[in-house]
Amino acid sequence: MDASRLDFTLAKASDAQAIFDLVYLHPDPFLRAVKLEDVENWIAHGACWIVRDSTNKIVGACNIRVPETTADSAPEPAEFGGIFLLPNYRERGVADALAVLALASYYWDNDPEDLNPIPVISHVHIKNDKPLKLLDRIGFIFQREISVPDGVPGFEHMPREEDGRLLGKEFLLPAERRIQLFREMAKLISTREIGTYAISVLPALGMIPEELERLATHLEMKRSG
Amino acid sequence: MNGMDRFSKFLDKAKRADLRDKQMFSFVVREGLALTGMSVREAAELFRTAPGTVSRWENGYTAPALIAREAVRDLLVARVSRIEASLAVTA
Repeated sequence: MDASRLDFTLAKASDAQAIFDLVYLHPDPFLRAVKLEDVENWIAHGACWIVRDSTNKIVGACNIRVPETTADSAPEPAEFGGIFLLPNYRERGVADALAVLALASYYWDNDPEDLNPIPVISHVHIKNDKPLKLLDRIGFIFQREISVPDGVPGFEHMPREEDGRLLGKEFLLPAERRIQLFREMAKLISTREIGTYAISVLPALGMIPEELERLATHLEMKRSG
Repeated sequence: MNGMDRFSKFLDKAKRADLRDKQMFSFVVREGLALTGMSVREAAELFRTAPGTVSRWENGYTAPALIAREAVRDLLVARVSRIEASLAVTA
């Protein structure tokens, strides 16, 4: 068995329990409280990308929520739900690779050649500094402060302001960031390695390095006018 | 239009479709899902994407990279062809 092999793919409904266990292995005061059914909903209604080790165990997950739309309702932004990774796999490039896979796949599937695609946002508790480094590395930029409305389930345990408000920060991934994401994704698929790990990736449908590079070059040219 | 006509028309149109046209791709997804009876969730699993993304495609808001549009079309054509063939046998 090759202990340094990792497989990246999209989660299926049958992975919900393992993802739930991974996410809630370590209690975090800034993590929204959810039940197994909520994780099942991530998989059913979003794109939940996972990484498995050589024993087939899920060691990391990254969820992007894409709200469903109808002919009468304009699409809302997608939401990057952060990365959950077992401690042994942290600071080894795995989290960044998961983020690249999730975000490049999202943009591949949503008007990759347009200058103004439907954006991806992310929300973080106002006092939670832990995800900021990763968000910064990926390219998210701070947009605004937000207040979570009362009564939204899963936030009851989170630290609040003296006046009782629950505040968060909203980050946005600028569209031009796709150029780098597509190139990093092309590199992941073609080199099949992250540091010391050999990897296999089952990315978005039809995704190949040559087309990712063409898209990146196309966007660069469009940007420069 | 009877049921068989609808299958044949879809297959003919989808195979010749110019998928650079986002609205044509939207038609292929919408009609393909209707004819196969696939839910948005089932389609998302088949196309390795989020159900919300499939709902954007079928309503014409977004479309994937051209290679992916062709792959989606081919998967739908294959499924619709199988259903059409089975209907022809039982008709």
